[in-house]
Amino acid sequence: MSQKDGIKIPSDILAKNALELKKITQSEPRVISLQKWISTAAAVAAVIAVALVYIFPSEITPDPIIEQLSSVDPVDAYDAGLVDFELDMVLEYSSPDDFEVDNLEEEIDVTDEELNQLLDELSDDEIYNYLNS
Amino acid sequence: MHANEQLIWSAYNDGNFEKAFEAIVDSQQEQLLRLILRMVGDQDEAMDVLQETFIKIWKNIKKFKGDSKWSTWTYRIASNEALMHLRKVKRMNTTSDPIVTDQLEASSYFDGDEALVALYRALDTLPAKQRLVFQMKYFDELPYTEISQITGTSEGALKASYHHAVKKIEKEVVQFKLLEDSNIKGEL
Repeated sequence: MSQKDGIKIPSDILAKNALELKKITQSEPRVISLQKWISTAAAVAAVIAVALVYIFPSEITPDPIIEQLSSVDPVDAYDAGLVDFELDMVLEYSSPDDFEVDNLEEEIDVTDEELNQLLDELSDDEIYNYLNS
Repeated sequence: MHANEQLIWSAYNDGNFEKAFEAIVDSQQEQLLRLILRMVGDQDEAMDVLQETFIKIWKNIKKFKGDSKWSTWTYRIASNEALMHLRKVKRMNTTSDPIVTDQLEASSYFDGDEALVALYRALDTLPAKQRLVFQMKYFDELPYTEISQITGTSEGALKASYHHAVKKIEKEVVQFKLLEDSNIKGEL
């Protein structure tokens, strides 16, 4: 039976999908976390840097390509679609309880304090009437 | 406490995280899929987002502190996954896209009438996050306190957001009906 949202998902589809979802516990997460990725990349970069200094002690000069790359903000590159990081590599939950969507206040341009003061004591109907007056 | 929540907590407190996870799948899969499908539109994409959601739930299940209900926590993760999907795959930053409703309407899981389609079309005019709040309040009938925990937004801001959305939707639905009526008259 469909609900208020008009969406009716067959129970056999849900049952089949539930079996697939439960398999998640049997495998390691497939996405490398951002923390691990950065740690590994930093370790590799450090080893390469030491090796280069050791091999070419007086010949290292700033490479224009490296300079150009290092000047690019990875987030900008990601936003521009230049780098297709896995979602988890960009946004790893440090703690699930801390994870929040962006604040709606930006969209409606008011502060919590102002809203609480204005709205907390009003009923839904009062707010509705106010907005529609 | 709801029976499903008790079942999850019982397994969780015994250290049986697999069983707790399976209880979450059994009790919340459908509701999370609804939430995601309404946001994403395409049912295959929704299934992918649902899977990502459960991967996140499994990865983080041991970190859950019990500050909220399990369903609130899973809703929060699913909401974020849906919003991230819109930004990443559909390149939608602040506004929704009519393609979401087109895809939802074409989905074999959608069983709504014309009035409901008109409502979804009106929802397309809202920013994605405002649409999310409206859907949780209107379709899922969640209380402001719970939506507040899910979105990390104050109840005052949610009330304002919801009523702004209602006002906007009413306007859009009226315009949509006027347009439809004029089309019908034109055909006659």
